[in-house]
Amino acid sequence: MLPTPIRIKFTKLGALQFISHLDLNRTMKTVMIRAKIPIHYSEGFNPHPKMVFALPLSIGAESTCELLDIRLDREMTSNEVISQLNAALPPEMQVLDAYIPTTKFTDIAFAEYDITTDEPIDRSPLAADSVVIMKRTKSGEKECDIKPMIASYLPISGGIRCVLSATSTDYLNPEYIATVLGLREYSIMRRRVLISDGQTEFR
Amino acid sequence: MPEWNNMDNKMKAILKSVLKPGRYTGGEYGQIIKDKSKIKARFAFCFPDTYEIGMSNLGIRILYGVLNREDDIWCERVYAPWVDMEDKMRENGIKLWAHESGDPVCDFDIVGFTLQYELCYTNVLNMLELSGIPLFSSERQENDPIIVGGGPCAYNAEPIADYFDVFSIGEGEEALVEMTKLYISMKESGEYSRKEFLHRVAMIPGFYVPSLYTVEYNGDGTVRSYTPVYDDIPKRVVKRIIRDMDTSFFPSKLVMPYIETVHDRIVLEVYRGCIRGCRFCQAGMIFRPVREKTPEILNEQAKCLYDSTGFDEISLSSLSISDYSELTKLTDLLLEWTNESKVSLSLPSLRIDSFTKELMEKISTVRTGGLTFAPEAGTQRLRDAINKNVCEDDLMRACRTAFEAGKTSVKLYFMDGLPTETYEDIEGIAALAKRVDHEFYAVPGRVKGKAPMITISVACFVPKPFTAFQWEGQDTLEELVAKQDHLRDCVRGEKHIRYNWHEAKVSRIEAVFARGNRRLSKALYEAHKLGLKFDGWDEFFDYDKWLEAFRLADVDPAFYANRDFGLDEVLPWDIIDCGVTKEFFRRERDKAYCSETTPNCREHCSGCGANKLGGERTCCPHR
Repeated sequence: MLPTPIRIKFTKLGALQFISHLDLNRTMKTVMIRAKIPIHYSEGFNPHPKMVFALPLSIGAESTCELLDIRLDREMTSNEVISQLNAALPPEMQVLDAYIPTTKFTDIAFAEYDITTDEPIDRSPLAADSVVIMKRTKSGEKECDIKPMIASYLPISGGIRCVLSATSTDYLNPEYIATVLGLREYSIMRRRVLISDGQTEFR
Repeated sequence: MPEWNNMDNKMKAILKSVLKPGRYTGGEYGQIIKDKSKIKARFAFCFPDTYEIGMSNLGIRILYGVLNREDDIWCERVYAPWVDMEDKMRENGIKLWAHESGDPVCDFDIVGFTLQYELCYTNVLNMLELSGIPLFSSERQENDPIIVGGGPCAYNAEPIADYFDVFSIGEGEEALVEMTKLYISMKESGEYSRKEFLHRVAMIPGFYVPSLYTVEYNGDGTVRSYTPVYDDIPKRVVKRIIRDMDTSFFPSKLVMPYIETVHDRIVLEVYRGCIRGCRFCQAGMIFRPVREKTPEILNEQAKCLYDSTGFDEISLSSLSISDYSELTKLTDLLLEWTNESKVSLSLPSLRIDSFTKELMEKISTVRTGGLTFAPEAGTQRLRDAINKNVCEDDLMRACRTAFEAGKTSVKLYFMDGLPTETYEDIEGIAALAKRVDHEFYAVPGRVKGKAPMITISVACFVPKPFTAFQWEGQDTLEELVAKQDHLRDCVRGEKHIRYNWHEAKVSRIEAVFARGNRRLSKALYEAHKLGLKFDGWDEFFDYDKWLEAFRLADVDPAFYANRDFGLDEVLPWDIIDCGVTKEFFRRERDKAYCSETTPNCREHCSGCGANKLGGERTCCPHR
């Protein structure tokens, strides 16, 4: 029998926004063991659990829609996966859904974020024809127009909701939007990941 | 940390601006949260170094569990903030807080510090200051917390005695609970006052209240006497031990860090104490008598921790793991389930004379990782003088086994500056490394086409209280450096030998405080005022500032580090009874000077005295 693929949707809230992607990976490994999830291990000399995360979340952003694909060596119901994992997870990281995936992570095109703040927001920089930021790259800083990567934005109470490119080649970190808006103290919440129409939630 | 939703924006912004904010946020899976209204005593357990190091400490894991097992006590964790966070705290007037509740440490009833190494003392002072707690015990008011210290350095706590209200000497599992219960009962009955509490604590076995002992000094600066100020407190404080390790508390759950810590693994404490009697080693003496756990119980504890944590590595911990009398049984029991669960076993260190092919095959970190052996000295004469009880043939046999199994590199630990050491002994280190190199090529089954790498790592000898070498002065800085240079010359041009050495200046400061008395507290205060902290970290250690601190305090560091203490001198740590007698140390010292060895405890009892403390599953004869 082939290992069953399972997609897990979970939250990463509050103080857990400071857990880096690498640390999340390590944490999940221990979580799988203590939740007794029969996760499939790689073959070879040094077997390790196979885990694939959808969109690494940058430090300082919360999320209600993190996605992780694993494979199970033994069949489990969705409810079993959810309840066993949640018992082994802190309240800030809870599994919302678990299902057999029918799509690929490469189908993800956009992510939707809420950026909230107590500071007044002037959205006009986003309305300009080009939105140029200094982007950190391996070879130093360089100018980059992020306008094409901003699919949409609209005001919400105490902030702004925006849909940003989230493909492996064009991924816009929401921190840049906060920078463009000149915010100092703010929160970022990733709410949904979307397919190429920019509206339908990826599942 | 307070819960994220209750945190103010300023703190949120600070967390976003510092390195590794995961150090400060708390909220780990497995942390213990209690209802404050039902708590009668709050205990802040402080580790005076970073979160990553503190979270790996077995002692804290045990004591956190044992204190929180009590319904009316809530024990929380506190770590030293890294310097970037400290700056933000000072800038914004934020006091040091406890991890679980986020409440300031100054609001706790009891604040405990674990003292693992002398170089953390400046961090202790800094953490007290960041908490807004008066540094000196004598300056604390009725409402300030009781400051308690424990751990290996508490065996000679004199240099920091002025900063602590009380020290817990020896194993704290039972003692700390007793002390906290006393606090609760005195608070409830209305008898509590700082003074009365400390007097009563001093009557509990294993507690040393430094302010209740007057120290007098001779004209030459040595200690003349310790005098208790009350008749009903002991003249010497006998350390506490856990009698029965099998029934003693061992955590079934751990707080799981999100960020990577030094040791992300299960640490299984196999036994306490050590049957060896290395004459430089303090741990081998202060943790006596040997008390073993039974393999079945260890296996159950390991399984339970695996289920509750999800860690996939189990480290078997003790001073010399291969001396555990049931190691084969234990590893067999563990391997019954660990292989299948993809859990690996690791050992912290192995004695050269116990390293076998069988052990290597069982222990995955030995199988896949590098190998480290500790001959400690370069010649048989010196190895005999320090009572290491291994010979060159043992080392060659161990290395051959490793090379036959496909290893190409070994790491060898040594010390320089050992008592009776000559340059011949230094040259012996290089000669030994070269012989290991030759041995590699003599092994028919070695890995072909790859050169061996022999790393020699040399630490400076630091004389420690409660060892046979407690009276010996450390080599001067110049001597230590000259020896290091000489060894470098001896291995120059050797392509297969890599040479690492410890910073001698660090070892010197360690020596000053290891054998210090109360007159050093002023130097420590000056060091703190000069901004010294994290002395164990290369990037912060500042020898010149330390010399400045000694000068300001009118303290001669050589008096403590380099002077040979008189055999009849009252030693600063004579106030403590660690079980092993001074007479035994004296005998061992004399034998060292004759390069005469002492058999290990299992071969023959040498009458160290620790058996008076009792204990189950020891190898000691009953007294």
